[in-house]
Amino acid sequence: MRSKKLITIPLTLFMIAVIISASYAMWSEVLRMNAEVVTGIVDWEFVNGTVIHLDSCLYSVNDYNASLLPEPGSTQLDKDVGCTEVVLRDFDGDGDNEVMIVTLINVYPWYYEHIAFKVHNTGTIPIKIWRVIINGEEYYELNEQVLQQGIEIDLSGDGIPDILLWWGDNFGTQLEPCHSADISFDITVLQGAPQNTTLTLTISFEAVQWNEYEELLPR
Amino acid sequence: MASRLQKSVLLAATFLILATVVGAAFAMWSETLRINIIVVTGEVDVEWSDYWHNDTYEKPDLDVTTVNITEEEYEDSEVIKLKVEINNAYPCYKVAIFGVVDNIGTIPVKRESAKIIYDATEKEIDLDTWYQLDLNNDNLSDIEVLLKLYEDGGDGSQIDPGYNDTYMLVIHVLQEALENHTYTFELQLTFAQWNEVE
Repeated sequence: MRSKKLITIPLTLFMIAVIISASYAMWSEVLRMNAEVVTGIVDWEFVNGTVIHLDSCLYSVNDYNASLLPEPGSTQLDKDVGCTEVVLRDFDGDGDNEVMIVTLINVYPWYYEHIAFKVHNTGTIPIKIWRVIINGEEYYELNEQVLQQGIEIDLSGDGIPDILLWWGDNFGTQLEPCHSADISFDITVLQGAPQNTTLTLTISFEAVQWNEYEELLPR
Repeated sequence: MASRLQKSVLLAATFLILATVVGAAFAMWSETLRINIIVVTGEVDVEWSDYWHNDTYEKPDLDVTTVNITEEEYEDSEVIKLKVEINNAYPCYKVAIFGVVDNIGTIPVKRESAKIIYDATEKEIDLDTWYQLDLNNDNLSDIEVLLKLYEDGGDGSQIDPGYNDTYMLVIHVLQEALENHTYTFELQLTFAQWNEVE
């Protein structure tokens, strides 16, 4: 009995070894898929050298008066009292000017300025001009009627509007990569502006990838 | 009546759909350009920078009528109101008061108005015109006044920052003025930014 067991164990081990060898004794081929996703970039900028405005500080030019309010437009005055400085800045160092700094100096009620500029799609994805955020308020459309008065903004917090802003309507305009668009806005200083004061306002101007524009409009 | 299992499945499905919708809404890239607007306003500011009168001795060693000009009101330490006292005047007495209006602001100004104010009366006046005033309401004019520019380097009404105009107010006591009486009136000159005054 014991001798039978002694024979069976080595036989079993031998059979297992034969089976394992047989399972490795085959050819195989592996197919692989390497996926590489190269994303594009949504990017745009204010274009250097495209900013034009009425009353530069760089040379003497007589001021403009918002004589036509509530309609847009102005008439030129007989004196050079105030002026406007416009500079573009690349604060994040990506080579694009993403900030425009507009400084109105020594201005007074009815002082009027019109600033025009180009924006340029520097990314690789088509974009659409989505909205502007003026003083915390979101606008998806402005100046729907041709001669509708702009937005009155209280910058000093006294409840009285200090400036009037007209924004050229370019909402929904699609810019393909490398394409550009002209945009402009007007500023008029109102009667409520305090004297001898510095008032600041930030306008955020947002574009989104073109295929999401319709989805992102308020219903 | 849905079973407990069906309810659980429905709830899970709702959450899944919600998460998909939210995910889709955030599935976009955007880029923001900013415009920083800085408005530095100027200042309309004028003051009386100098003043005098032309009262003289009526007779040698005898000054019958005296004129005294003092600063009555200030705004930011600038003189905005003068007080003129004419004592012991008499019919035909005439004196001119001179005041220099300095533009100490940063915006050109123009004279918007000139007014003579007494009691409840407010009378707008023009330059170089005599105005007779009945200051005690007895229907008789007591005093007449004339406002004119004494020296002017500009166009007669406009003062640029750092420049000035000198105004002259001539006061003439008339025959009907009462004896031993005090007459008071105020001259008010208003200057505004030049581009809003015709």
